[in-house]
Amino acid sequence: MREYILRRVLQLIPTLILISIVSFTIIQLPPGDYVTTYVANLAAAGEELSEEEIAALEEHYGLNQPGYIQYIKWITNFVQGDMGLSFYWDRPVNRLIGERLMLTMIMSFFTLLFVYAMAIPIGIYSAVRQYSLADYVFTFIGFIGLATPNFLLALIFMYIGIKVFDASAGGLFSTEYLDADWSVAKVWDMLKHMWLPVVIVGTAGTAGTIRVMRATTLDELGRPYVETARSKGLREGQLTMKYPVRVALNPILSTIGWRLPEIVSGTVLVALVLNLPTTGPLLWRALMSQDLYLAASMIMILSTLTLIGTLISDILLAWVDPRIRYGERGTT
Amino acid sequence: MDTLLEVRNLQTHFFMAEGVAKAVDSTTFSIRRGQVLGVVGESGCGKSVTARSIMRMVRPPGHTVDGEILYSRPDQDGQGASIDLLQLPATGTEMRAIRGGEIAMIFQEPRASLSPVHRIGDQITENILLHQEVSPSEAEEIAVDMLRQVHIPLAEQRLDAFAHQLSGGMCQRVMIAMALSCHPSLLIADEPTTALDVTTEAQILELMQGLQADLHMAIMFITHDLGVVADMADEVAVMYLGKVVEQGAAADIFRDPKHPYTIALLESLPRMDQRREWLQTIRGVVPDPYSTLSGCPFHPRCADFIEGVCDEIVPEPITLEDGREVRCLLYTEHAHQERPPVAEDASHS
Amino acid sequence: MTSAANPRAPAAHDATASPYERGNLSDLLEAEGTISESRTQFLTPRQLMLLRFRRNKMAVFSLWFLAFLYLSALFAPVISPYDKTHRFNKHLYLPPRDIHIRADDGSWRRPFVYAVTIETNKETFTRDFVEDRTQQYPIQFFVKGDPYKLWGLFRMDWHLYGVENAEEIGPVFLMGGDKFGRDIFGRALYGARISLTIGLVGVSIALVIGLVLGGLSGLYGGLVDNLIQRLIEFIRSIPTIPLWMGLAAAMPADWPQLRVYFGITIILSLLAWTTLARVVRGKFLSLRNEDFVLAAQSAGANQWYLIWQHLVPSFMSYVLVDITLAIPGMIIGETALSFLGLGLVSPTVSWGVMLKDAQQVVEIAIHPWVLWPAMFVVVTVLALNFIGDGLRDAADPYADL
Repeated sequence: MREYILRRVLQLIPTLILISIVSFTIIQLPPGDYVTTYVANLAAAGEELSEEEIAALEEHYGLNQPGYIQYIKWITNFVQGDMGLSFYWDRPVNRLIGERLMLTMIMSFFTLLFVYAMAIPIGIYSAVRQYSLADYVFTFIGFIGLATPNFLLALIFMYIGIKVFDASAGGLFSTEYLDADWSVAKVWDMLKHMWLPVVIVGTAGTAGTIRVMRATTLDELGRPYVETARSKGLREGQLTMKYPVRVALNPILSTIGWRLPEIVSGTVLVALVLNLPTTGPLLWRALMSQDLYLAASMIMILSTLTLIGTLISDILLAWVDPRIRYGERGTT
Repeated sequence: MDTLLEVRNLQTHFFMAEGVAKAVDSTTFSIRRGQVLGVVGESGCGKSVTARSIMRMVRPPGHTVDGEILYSRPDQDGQGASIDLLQLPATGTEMRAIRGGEIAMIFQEPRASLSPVHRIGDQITENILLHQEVSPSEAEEIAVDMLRQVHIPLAEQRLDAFAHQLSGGMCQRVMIAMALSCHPSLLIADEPTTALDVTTEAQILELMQGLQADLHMAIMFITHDLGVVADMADEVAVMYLGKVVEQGAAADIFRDPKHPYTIALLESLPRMDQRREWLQTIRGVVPDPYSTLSGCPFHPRCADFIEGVCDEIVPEPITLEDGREVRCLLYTEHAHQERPPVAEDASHS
Repeated sequence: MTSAANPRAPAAHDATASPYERGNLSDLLEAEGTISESRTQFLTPRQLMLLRFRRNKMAVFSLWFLAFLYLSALFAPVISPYDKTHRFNKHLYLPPRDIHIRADDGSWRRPFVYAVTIETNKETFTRDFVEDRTQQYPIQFFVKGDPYKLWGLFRMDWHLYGVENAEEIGPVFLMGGDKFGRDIFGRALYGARISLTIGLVGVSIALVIGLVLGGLSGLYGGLVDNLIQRLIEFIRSIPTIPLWMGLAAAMPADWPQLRVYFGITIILSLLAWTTLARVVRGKFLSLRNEDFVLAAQSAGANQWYLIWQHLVPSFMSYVLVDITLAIPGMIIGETALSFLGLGLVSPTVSWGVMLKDAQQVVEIAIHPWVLWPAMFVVVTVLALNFIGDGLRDAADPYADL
């Protein structure tokens, strides 16, 4: 087991290096940099900067050096926990994303929980009662859920919120808690606000998981070992839960970590629409203003956290199911 | 010998979008206590569905629509009062007590018939705990004992094994151990050796014969292999298109088959005592199950087809002098009306 | 299922006349339902697939619907009553027009509209459009209007429907108008040209990459396979949206829209190919040891012949399923990026660009019809999913007919 964890952690390192290069390069790709954008913006406002001033700015932000040096500087500091300076906010990146990152993680965690808590029972029910009215209803909802991009869902929910409840659905906190320090009451307030984005982000994943769960359960229901169980005189409900469902759960649970990238993506997008104080809006603004270190650090951190989440779920599963340790993995 | 199970006019139909498939269409036969009944027929003739109908395990779209399955409980003192299994709710307490406890079943694919995620031991003890009032540790002892009886080496260790760690033959032994763990009075074996190689098949058959004698149970042995039936069975029922066309003592049927289908089946078998250039085949294929043929269902393929008789009159089972039942118009007065009984029949076989 | 199932009596079949044996598909489909359908052993796999697909009503309906949508996009300038840039400055945010077929006196008329005038609501101080019910303006068909060049070839100026004097009495906006007084319905059709093709182009790119890399992976195995698999795992472990956002933001703002269009398709297919490559690799691996491949090999078939004659045809139906199911992701991806302002931008019209107007909640609350393009996205994705599912079921060679 220790060996397995070690192996997986070691495998992570090259991936992380690759991700850091990719994140940094992507932000470097567009012509110009923060200073040119800044200068252009000032020029549009009718203010001209002299050559010296521009050079000084570039010096200040370290943009006068070649790309790879900027990268090496950034990554060495990054590893030590310093993610550099945000040009736009003129503040250390660390301070900007700390709380937002935590909120993103909490939201992703709850979404994951929501997806599985909804999808597994519904999937089983739909399979066992195939072609029942409820099965059709769930299938229909599932199709709609899959077909509606989550940011559209967010828009629709906000519209409903305003029309029906006369309340804005955005945000994660009530106004009185916005700048308050963390307290039990603030956490409670947050949880009260969080269910909506969680449902929105989780809908597509839930719909997808219901379909997989239903299909695999249906598949397993027809297997000979189910017939064996039946021939023993087991009660129908009991044998369904003990045999086909148990087998069908395996691939679903063993791919739990694979859902994370999708969920983190959803969180970013929905946060933008619902204006949540998570990483989404910050990343968007950073990308728009070519805020190099902020954007690169955020892509890097989101990817890293996703990878670590996947790793943890893999390790937990290997711990639960010895067969995974020997390289047998569920496939989807 | 008294009758253990009597199936009368059993009809199990599958209601598909394409039409109604009469997989079992008025099947009648009986199994005697402690005897082996071989059920033979080509693929798709309704053997397996008959077995599942007896177990009340037919799944939708299949439904048993008519018939009687009279089962005499073995431990009823004196007059073996029989119950009609079809009258019991399929998933009710009584039927579940019979299923696995008094009538057990083993299947064609031994490995697939065991759960891939549960240990062998769990699956055997589950059966024991369901039907016997024993503690889990006692059940485990019984399981080990059963594994020994089916000649599995290192029985205790095997309890912790998973199906994928065992060979096909081993899996079938486990299945047999599981099925026999509650000493059923009837074991339904649905092609238990078809998926196994020849040497393993021989071992399993030998094992089943030994256990059958030891435990004094009846076996309904379903197979398409006449050779296996000749080895195992006391009685034989030949099925064609959901009907039993001939039932009788195994020896009689192999020596002197009466139904043209039985004759054809036997002719398609290689034999050591006769030199043949070609094996006979039965012409045509089994018609699709949705079709409704008039008259005798075998008439389009029958070598002794009598026009105007076989394609018009549905044959009923008739009992011949030696006690066997045949469903064929050749042995009724209908055949005599048209032309003399098929004297040339003998030259065929 | 009830026992009172359909007792459709299968006709006795005359073997020589059975179209199933002739293998002619049109005969076959014609005969379907009149002849016992179990004799499918004479059909080729492709015919079987088509037959099964046609049984899936939802999938067939979706296919027709999509075909209709693509055709509408093709003829967008004809169907749309006004040019996509035509602004009705007097009628900003005009709600969807009521089309009447009954006059106030209760008599039936051909479809008509009333003129609309703007009145300020005394209580809410909002500007509302009010119908002036004094005169009816019939909807006319094949009316002259904004000139356009169909497919860049034919100079034309007539439109499928419209009203006379639209500037005065108000244009016929079936789904309302946007903040510049442009027709949302017509623009959605123009937008379909971008949104619907981006999926097709993107999937073609993804397919080429997926076939090549997946094929290499499955064919050669070993180091090549290992490298490609690691690459796929790497790409899939990165959260999509941040990556897309990063890449899309990396496109220079001064790029022409056509280049942005292709840039976006490439970004989207950068991810989609991984799914296809996995399918192709899996199929290659499993088919490599199939008897018919070994048979062809032992018969002396060379590798390329083998791949094109045996391997590719035998997994194409599966790949087709995955292609169909990959398109929705691309359509949603384009919509999301354009919605965020990272993809296509005005004056280009796509569903995502149109939805950008719906970013503000206030906007949606007052003018909910700006969400209409979302409906187009959802319905298109839904249809594609139904088709993909239908194809998947149909491609399963072991499924019952």
